[in-house]
Amino acid sequence: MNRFSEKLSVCRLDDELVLLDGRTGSYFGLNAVGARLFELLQAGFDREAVATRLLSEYDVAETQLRGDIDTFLFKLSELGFIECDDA
Amino acid sequence: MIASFLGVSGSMRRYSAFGWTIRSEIALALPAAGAETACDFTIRYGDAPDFPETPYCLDSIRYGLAEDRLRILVPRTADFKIRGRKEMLIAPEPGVSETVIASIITGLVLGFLVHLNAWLTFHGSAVVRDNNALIFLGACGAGKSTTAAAFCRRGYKILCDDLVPISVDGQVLPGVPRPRLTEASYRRLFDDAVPIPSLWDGADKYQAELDFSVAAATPRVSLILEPWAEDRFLAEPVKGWKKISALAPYLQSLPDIDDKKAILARLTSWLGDRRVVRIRRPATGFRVDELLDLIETASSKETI
Repeated sequence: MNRFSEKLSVCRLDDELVLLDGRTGSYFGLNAVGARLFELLQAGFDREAVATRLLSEYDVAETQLRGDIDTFLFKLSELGFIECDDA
Repeated sequence: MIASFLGVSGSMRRYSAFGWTIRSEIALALPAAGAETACDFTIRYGDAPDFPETPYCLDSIRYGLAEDRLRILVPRTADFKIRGRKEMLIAPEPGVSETVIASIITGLVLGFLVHLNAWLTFHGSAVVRDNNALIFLGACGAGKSTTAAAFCRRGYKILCDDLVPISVDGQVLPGVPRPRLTEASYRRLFDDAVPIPSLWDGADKYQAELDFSVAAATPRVSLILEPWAEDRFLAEPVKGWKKISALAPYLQSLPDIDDKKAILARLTSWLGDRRVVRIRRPATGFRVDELLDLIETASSKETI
């Protein structure tokens, strides 16, 4: 289960997402792929399910993708945006 | 302090700004409103005791806000007290001319009101045609007011100048509908006509009397005007999260009163899939009509 910070606001700008940190006023932009990844997390997909889904949607090497997902999750966790059971 | 102004009978004049009808004891450089329109706001000389202190600063201006009472103290000029959206009381310093008071009302004090009554406020200008608004943003001297004024030759009406207020439902609200132009820009726009002294804003520009609208409008596109060293024009759409950094510099906020994080959140929410285009134009020596043609083309395309 993924738990998101209450101070996190998410807005879609065109095909990208913006994550707004209500504590600091900082914002982070996610490109289309990052936005898709984040939306899967918001929908409750765990890390394995996210990887499976993205592998079916994008032409990317599995090891590359899994590494990118882990980096992404680590960054979100470091920023205090998310707590994942399998982080 | 106000004794020298008591008993001055100025008749109450009626003006139109922000979609309001303003009744004023002081002659203002604003469009006249018809006698039949109901008055929304009154400006008169006077004082009142139940106003807050002025703990906040904006340059040399001091201000304070408590519930629906705003107080603005302009040093060596006047004490302005605004109660809700109903009235403004002015207590001038001795010897201050009414012309100076008037220019501070239209150039500063009404700007505070616009900002406090809006959900978002940009520093810029906006014009409207067929309920669609073009918003012009940019640094000082980028040509926001001049471009807005020039669009009136193409059937657009001025919606606001200097401050662009946005409502909570995302509409562009009417503001002060008189673009302020340098003398050179004024003469270029009006075929070399010399502006009359009554249009002088008390600082460094002249107000242009043009067709204006008092109805809120749907924002069609936000255009960031940027002079550059090249001798050509370029329209560049801004997409995604970069729209935030493109527009954030033009957001208005009042120090110590506005929550900047909340304003940024509002900006992000408002932007959504709204169109933003960066318009680069030659720093000097260009035809205004060429700039307007580019803007109209960029504004009419659904995708660039």
